[in-house]
Amino acid sequence: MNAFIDIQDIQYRPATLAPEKPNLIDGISYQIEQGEFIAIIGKNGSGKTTLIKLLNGLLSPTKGSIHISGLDTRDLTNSHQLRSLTGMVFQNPADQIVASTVAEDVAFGLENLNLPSQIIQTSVAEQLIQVGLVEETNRPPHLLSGGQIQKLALAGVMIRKPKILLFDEPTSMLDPLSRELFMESVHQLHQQGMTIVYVTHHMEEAVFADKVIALNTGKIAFSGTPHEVFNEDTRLYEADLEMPESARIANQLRSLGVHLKPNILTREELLENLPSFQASFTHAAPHSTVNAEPASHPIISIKDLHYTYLARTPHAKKALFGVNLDVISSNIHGIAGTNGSGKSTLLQHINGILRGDNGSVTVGKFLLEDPATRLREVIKKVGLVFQNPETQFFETYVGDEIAYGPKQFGLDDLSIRVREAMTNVGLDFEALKDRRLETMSGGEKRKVALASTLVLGQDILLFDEPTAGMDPKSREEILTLFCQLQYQGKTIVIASHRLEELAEITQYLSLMQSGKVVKTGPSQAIFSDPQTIMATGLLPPLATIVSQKLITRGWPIQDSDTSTPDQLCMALQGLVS
Amino acid sequence: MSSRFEFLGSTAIGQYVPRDSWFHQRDPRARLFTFIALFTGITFTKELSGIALGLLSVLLIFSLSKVPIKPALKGIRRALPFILFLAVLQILFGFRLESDFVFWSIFNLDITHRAAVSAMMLVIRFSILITLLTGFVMCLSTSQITAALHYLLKPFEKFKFPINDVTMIVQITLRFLPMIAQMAEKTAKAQAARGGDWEQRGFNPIRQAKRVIPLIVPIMVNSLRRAETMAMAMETRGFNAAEKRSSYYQLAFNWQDGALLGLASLSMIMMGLAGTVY
Repeated sequence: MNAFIDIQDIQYRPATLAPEKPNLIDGISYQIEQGEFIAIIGKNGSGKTTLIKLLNGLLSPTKGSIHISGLDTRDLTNSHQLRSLTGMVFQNPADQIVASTVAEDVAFGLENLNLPSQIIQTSVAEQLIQVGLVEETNRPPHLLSGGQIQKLALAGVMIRKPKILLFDEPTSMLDPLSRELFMESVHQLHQQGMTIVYVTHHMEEAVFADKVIALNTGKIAFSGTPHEVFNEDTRLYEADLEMPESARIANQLRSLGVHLKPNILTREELLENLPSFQASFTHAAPHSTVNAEPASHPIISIKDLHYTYLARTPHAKKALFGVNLDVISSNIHGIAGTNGSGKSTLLQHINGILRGDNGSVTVGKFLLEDPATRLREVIKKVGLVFQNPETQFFETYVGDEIAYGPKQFGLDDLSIRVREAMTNVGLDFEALKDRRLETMSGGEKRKVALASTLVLGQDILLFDEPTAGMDPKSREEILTLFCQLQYQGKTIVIASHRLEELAEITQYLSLMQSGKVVKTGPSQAIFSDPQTIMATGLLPPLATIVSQKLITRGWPIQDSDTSTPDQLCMALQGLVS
Repeated sequence: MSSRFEFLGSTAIGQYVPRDSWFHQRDPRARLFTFIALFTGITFTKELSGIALGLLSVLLIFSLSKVPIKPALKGIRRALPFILFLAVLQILFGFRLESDFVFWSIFNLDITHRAAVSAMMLVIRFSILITLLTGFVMCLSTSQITAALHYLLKPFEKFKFPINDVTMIVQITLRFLPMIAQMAEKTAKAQAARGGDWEQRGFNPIRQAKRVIPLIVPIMVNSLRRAETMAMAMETRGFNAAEKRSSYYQLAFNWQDGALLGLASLSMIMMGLAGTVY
């Protein structure tokens, strides 16, 4: 038992847990060698976070033992050494920032070692250069962007030079570009010999690990190298997980008859291995043009909208720089952009929570720039689900939380309305209406948040990053819900930085960058122009990239109509023998 | 149009204005002491002359530090209803002597000259204190406050006073205030988006109070949850209040800081002696 991290048959069960509930961790044994990169995957509530808290001794196992470099985590006299050995980056980085300026927060870990000021100052300066936060040295953390806060959290941990890094879904708040940069720094650390344990919902991140552990209900469902784990179709499915997108697309292509080598897991592998077009070109692929939309009147119309946060204070920050946007009724309209591009601010202007400095916002019959327009009247027509809505719950029970809106408007038949809304999002009314909110899983909470807006039955629905932090299955369910809502005739606007999701469900797409809408059009048209997408700092959907590559290799396909894996397969059908 | 939901803008904490002024260059300890001295002086001075001296000192700080005075005026305007309310109480129930000159009497209430003067003093005193407070948050960053506090408390370490805990409490509180403001903002927005009545229409304190009540519980719950995570994060980064800690800042004190210290003390003493010596 001389492994660097030695986990021996551990169980964990908090004393306050109701007796009928299963153990949070239920019999895990595993050995991790020094310098290994371990990814932990599993659906919301499978025990991932609990496991890594056990690893650095924040929690102590109720049964079994964990030894790190020979130190027993249950022994409190070891805690000082364990703290120096391990560093942890939490899920919500803002919660682990202690001090009120960037430099001072990075210094915190060294102040605790009682080092002299000069040494701390030099190390802090070095560390800030390393993570690229020099310019923010004296800024308060609450004014940093999501990507910057994550960097700050990492810097604060790294300055103590730990041997083991534990990450708890560190990228769930980041846009694709920030995520890629963050993953790159994780890679570098791994190459420098750091032992890494990395919890994630993104299978695309897990493929870079040496080993992957799939957790389900507190047990290791299966584990192995990424290739071994991601070949287990059925077991992945049973654990509510999925293959990385590249592997899924590779499988779909294979089933069409395209020759691809086995075991493709990453984007790079997939693109490199795409074959050139072989068969003789027989007939043109069915060519579907973008539907010429009948000229219809937009239900949301925004003209030259400007907005500044904290206007007329020393911390004023302009967020919108002249936004123009039209949304046509009964469509799903995506708004894509990186963190800080102004998506959330824009959405809050559509339901009147924020009112612009100048410019005009027309929603249905409401002129929002008119101060006489009552917010409550607009709300009856427009619903908004904020980012991470489950952090804004203010009631205790599920039913009350959902009933809040109808109560405010004095609507009758409360329980019928609540029941309908819950059924709509796939929650069982009878079983869940009296449950306490904090006992629900992450995915269930997100559904409650959706229901608490849908219960008002508005015609226009706005969603801010609705799938962020959700496991693959919950993501799928939420996307299906959007399509159902559209079928009911609702107009839906979704802000997101996940283009592969927007490609699945939107008819129209707007790209935002630095507080402006830089491009709007039918989704197909936007997706067929990956250059513009990349210029805004976003990543085009993988299917688009694959189809572009196929075109350069001689495949006679159209570059529009291929932004989802299914569309790509449709386009390829009949081209492969 | 300023938003109804920008609670962050209305919190004084975190409004530090970095300037390259003589005052900003002074040692944080000297600056912190200056503010403490002036607060004490203005609060306890008995005479109008003392208050005048206080006003003069406050204005001097504003000109030495080159920070704008406008935020202070905004702060006074916001607090005015409460100050006026206190002033009315002072007039009605304040200390009085039988011999006091009554210049107005309504119903059974006599308004004496003494009460009127003390009510006026109260209004002026509070206005100056608010101005000073605004100056304080603009001239000292939160980290400077904690660093200075740590040093100023150091003598008490001998008496087993837990200065590590106290400075850490102050530091975390200062860090949490903007976080709580942001949290309140989010929750208020979430309620408004579902029909909660958050629209500002004129001055209506009862309505305003009613609006704040549903925010209190979620903010407390959320704060506790975040505090728990933060405590865990601090632990993983090696924090242990029982052990000796060092500081990122090394403070240096020179003669100019001494001069500021002297001036501030002098001003405080003069205010204290107002009415007895001159």
